[in-house]
Amino acid sequence: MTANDDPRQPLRLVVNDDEVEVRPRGHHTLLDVLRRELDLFGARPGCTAGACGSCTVLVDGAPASSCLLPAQVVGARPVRTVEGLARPGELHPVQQAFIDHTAFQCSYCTPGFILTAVSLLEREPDASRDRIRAELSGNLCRCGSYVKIMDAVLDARDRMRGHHDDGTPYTGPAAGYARPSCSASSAGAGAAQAAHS
Amino acid sequence: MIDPRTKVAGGLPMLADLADVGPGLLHARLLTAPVAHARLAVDTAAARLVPGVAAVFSGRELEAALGGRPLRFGPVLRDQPPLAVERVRYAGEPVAVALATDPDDADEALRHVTVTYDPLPLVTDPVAALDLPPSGAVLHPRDAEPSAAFPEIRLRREPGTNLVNHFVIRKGDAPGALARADHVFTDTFTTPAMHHGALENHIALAVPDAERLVVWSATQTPYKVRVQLAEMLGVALDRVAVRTLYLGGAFGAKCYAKIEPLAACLARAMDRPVRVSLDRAQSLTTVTRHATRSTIETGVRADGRITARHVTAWFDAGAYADISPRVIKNGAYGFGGPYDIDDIWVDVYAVYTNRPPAGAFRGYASPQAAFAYEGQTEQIARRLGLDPRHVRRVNLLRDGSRNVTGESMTDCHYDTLLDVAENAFGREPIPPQWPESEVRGRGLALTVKGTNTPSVSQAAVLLNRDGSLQVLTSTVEMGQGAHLALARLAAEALGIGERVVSVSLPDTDVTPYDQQTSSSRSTIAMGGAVRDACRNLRELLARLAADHCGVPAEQVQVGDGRVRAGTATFGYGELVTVLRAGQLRCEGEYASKGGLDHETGQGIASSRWHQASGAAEVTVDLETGRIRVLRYHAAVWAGRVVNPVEARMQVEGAVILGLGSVLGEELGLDPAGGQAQRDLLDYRMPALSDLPEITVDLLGGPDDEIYGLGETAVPPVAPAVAAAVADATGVVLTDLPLRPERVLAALRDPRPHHHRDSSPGDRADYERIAR
Ligand code: FES
Ligand code: FES
Repeated sequence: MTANDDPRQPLRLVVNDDEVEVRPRGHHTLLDVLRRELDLFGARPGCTAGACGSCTVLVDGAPASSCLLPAQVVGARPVRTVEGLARPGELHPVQQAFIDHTAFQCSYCTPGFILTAVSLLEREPDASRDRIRAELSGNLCRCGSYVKIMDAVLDARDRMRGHHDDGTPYTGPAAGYARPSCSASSAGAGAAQAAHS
Repeated sequence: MIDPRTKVAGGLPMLADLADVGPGLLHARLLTAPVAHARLAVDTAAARLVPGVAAVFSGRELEAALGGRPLRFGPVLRDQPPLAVERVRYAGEPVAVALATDPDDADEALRHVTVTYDPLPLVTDPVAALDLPPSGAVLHPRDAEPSAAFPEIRLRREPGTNLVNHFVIRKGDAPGALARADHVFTDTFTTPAMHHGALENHIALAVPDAERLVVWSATQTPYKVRVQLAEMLGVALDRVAVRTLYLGGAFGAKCYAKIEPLAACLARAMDRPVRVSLDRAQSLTTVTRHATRSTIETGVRADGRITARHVTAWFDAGAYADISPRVIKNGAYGFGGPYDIDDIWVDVYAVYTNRPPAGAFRGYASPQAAFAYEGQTEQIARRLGLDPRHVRRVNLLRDGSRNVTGESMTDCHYDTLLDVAENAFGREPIPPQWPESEVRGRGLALTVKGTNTPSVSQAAVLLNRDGSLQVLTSTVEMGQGAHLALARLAAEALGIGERVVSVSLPDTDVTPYDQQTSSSRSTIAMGGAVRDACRNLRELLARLAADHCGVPAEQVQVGDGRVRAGTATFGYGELVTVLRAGQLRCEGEYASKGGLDHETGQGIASSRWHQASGAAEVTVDLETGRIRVLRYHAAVWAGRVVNPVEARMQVEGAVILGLGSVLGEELGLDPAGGQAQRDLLDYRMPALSDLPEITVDLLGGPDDEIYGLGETAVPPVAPAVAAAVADATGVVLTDLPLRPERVLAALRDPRPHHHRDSSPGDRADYERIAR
């Protein structure tokens, strides 16, 4: 196959609430499109094999390894990247909790962890520690910031739902806001999930 | 300073995001060799016809394009070509490169490159490789030129063999003392090659103009890369600039030139900007941690006191020397451990093989050495029927002891570190309620690690009219928190807020000289340079204020952001404004002294001795051989901690890296000599679900010296876990990683893991396993 056999095809995507037109080749992944055409660099290549999670984005609200997802199959499902998580002047509570707990060193992995956590907490506001640990275990952090990442996500959970595990009201730093990562459609979420696994 | 908001928004500037470096950027794509050792013929003719392709080069063609000189690089020995020429020496070595504006076109071109490989003998065992005849099995028949990057390194080589370097320590009379010892134990330990695993892959961008070359690189060593590029291209140092952005992890993989030489050569050959960006498969074969084999012969008195030691170790350097000659020096002095041994000889050999080159790796040979010497500490205790903690206690280095290189030790904290490890999990006995098939145990380890010595760091501080302060430094920020520590030290030295201090990104055109960002040295060395610069700035402010106000300099006070001269008081920025000085600039320097005698390895090996202990609690499943680490406690002598949050995270990260090395990480070979692991699905690194409960002690106080923290906690992890496994099973495992099948094999037949000198310990082991 030559590049000419794999021509660029126009494609409409919904990324961070904006409708955009891109021209990927058939073999281009969503990660390729985000980085090469849309200048969105928060999703990062780590392994391009679905093993590290540093390229994680949300497709229809579910985490997906954008390095494995052909751009052409994304279709109309809304894509959210880490750049689209904050509102002007206000971070998402998961982002804020990562800052408050210094849950990063080099921060290469950070967007992937944040998006994975956002998706989990949107679907399961009361996710247990074990559940969070399991869900975040598809993301790698070679700097080994895991202890603080767990602390941050647990804290973000309590911020977002407004209370701690024992039922006492959340009294930590400002709870922030929660922007839904998509208008959820469960069928789409399932498909994206499959791509992630 | 880095705003943490950029980190959580994915906006921290990293090189992979920098696409716009001028018109005509070409993307380079690499073809790598599938075989490990062969003569090579590359035909690029068809590839050059692919539409959209700007150029395709083999190694020969690249040399021809640049005037025909051989192109070779390497920080010590210039033995490595940017693209293989005539001969490929490891699977994964780049053999051809295609350039195009659209990387897809470059990929396409590579499909049309024809390479024929004519096999040469495969060399994979470093011990055997030393004795190979000089037929095709000597990887570098012609001796390479030395590099100006490390002019001070003296080598012990035999040209025409696979020996890269032989490092020697001769303290006392080890053979004599061994002959006189009550017991002599000889044990061999091995560790495998490992992948650094920084999530950001290697990347470099070279931008030429008529006279100079600007190279953007994700490197830990901008100044070393500059020397290496200048000498390879045959130009003066000022003709090359090296710049970095923030790095997505490094762990030693990004020390010294890796892909920068290729980017530089291509940019020169094309006279256009070129971007070389590796994928994971390529990063996996760019540089590794040395696989090692270490045989330790130790003489011991019946009470556990070590009287003599002779170590012979082989470090698999892979196909190119990289920094192996220096790694084995640190390995060699590491083998003494934190123990006081009067008579110790060490011989470490770095050997060429057909593996990917091995280089610096977080811990710098001390983890491999520690796994061996602490494993033997366990063996010795078991064989003599002693408590391993006791054996450690009676041998510890203390203030005034002479270490392995004959240096009189100061600031030794091993007794404390051992206490902490002993008490890490309280004294409560191990609870008995485990499933029948599982045994549980605890173990600990004590380790020592040096730092790059002698070394030099320089810094500058710029004071602006608004009172803001710029720290100019070539220290690379790669997640370790060095920039925050430097800002804090500067703020503290001048009595100003951290918020008004910013720290530059490295740019060899602008930021002063630094040896490198590695070896846990930046807070000490660059921190020292920054503090020196700030001291000079205070003096300058005092002098200027004295002149301006006409008061004697002694009557000027500088501190807390203010200058008080007689009755007048100025803010720092205000004084700059009043004096119309534009900006004030002061320089600072830190230089450590030391060095080892070439014949004896005696002298000052390190300006700091990084001391650590680790304690682990594990379960071992006797049916599956699976080890689970339940708890791990890391203690390091941290001295004065500049930045407690990030210091702790560095230690946690070091522990997690260590856990990967003990539980599963290993780069193996396939039958063709290729690396068996091609991606991160094959090469598994620890994830959250793999972690035990990790706790950390940073020992020291505000009045202590600053110590490095990036690596200190790595070396104890593997031996502490192995000691816990020995406690649980009675068997000391000698080969990393502690894979289940190895555990099972050892449990079935512990005999090979024990010494001929059979002792009560052996029998106890058998009984315990039989139960
Ligand atoms: S880059 Fe690693 S999972 Fe996509
Ligand atoms: S913070 Fe560096 S990889 Fe996670």
